[in-house]
Amino acid sequence: MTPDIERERGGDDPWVDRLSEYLDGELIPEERGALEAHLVACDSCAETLDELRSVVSRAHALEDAPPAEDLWPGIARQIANPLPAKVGATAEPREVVRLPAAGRWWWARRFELGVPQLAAAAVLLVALSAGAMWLALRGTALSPAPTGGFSRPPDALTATPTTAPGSDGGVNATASLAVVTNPRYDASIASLEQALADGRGRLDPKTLRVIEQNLRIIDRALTEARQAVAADPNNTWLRSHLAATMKRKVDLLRTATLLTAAQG
Amino acid sequence: MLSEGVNVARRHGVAMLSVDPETIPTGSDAADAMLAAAGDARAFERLYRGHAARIHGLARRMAGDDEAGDLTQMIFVRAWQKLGTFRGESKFGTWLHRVAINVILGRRATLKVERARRHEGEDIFETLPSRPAGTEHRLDFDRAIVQLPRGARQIFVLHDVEGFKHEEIARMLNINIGTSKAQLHRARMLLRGHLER
Repeated sequence: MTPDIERERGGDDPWVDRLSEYLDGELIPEERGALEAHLVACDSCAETLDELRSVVSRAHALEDAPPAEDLWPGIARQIANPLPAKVGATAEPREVVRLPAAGRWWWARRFELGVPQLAAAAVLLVALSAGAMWLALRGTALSPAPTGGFSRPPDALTATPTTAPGSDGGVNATASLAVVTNPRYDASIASLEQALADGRGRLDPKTLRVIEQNLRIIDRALTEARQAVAADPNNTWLRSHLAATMKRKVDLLRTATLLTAAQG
Repeated sequence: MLSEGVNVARRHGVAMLSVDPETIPTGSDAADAMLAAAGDARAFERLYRGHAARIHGLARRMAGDDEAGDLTQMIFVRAWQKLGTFRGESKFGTWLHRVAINVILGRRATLKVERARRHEGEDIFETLPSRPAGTEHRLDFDRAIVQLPRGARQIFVLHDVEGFKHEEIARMLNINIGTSKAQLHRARMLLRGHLER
């Protein structure tokens, strides 16, 4: 054990680990009394406590220095085109509405929201797809193929939303989507969705519900990813992420259509 | 008394202040925030000049020297985007600080791999002299904070430098309170060797 690690752990005295709590006034009265009695007899703990007190004192006294280089030019560049978002504002529109030229502003704002959703979609996809398969197999064994009970109309499964609920994608966002539309991909998706729509009656309702939930999640993730790529088309990571998300939808639809075939 | 620029901002309803705008003194942070929310970059630059040191210090201690500049820029850009949410209920500095913490913590995930490649190990502190001498003590203590293991560093900065409570830190970092306390103690124990003598 190195001296530093040993210093960090404070030896074998169990009271050492309670010294910070004591310092912060977080021990219950009984513990505080016991520790104070220990401090009278233990020079090592008393010295450590003094040092910890000094550390806290130093932390409180830290001074801030401005960055070595002026960061304002970079900030100014990033805020140059768009105006600040009006979260919660209800007033009349601005006189001049400028859209972000390359989507920097938009992307910076949407990225943080998009990534967790994309990640959630990926995680849920894996988990729920496994669940869908399990339910399908279970349905095969335990119950006959359903004949109804779906809350959505038959063609609902084939509808792909163009904007995520709650997203701020309006006309311009819709226009941006055209940038990342792939006709071949869309045709493949349409074909798979049609196959699923044709065979959905053969699926267990629970299975279909899981599949539909997955598709909605992926569609939302796709919308976010497409908007992100449209806003920052040269971003390689974004493009590969979009491609991966598109592939996930294909994979799920293929799995779903295979399930319908298996049920047939 | 508000300047005409602030009145323009009010007419556009950009800053939905919860305080009476007429009470905001011209030249104050709140007035500049209102102007900036209406698109006045010069007002926002004044805010940047006034708060850059504190925000950069926070970013540097939380994320390290290499990322502090980028993070500081991100924080101010995010603040610009969210100025409409500043309602004047707290000081602008407090509001900005909250934005900064959110940006820094939000960036943790995206930098996870990068950070893991750098110093996550227990041995990082062995690269530091345990008892630095001379006139660089003050600087070295700050540097020692930056070189703490990431988990301990962030909790130490949030608790001992920024004044958050363990309950708040646990919520922000999605950890339990016991972990926050343990990591804080660990950080303090490690930093003992970098005190002025």
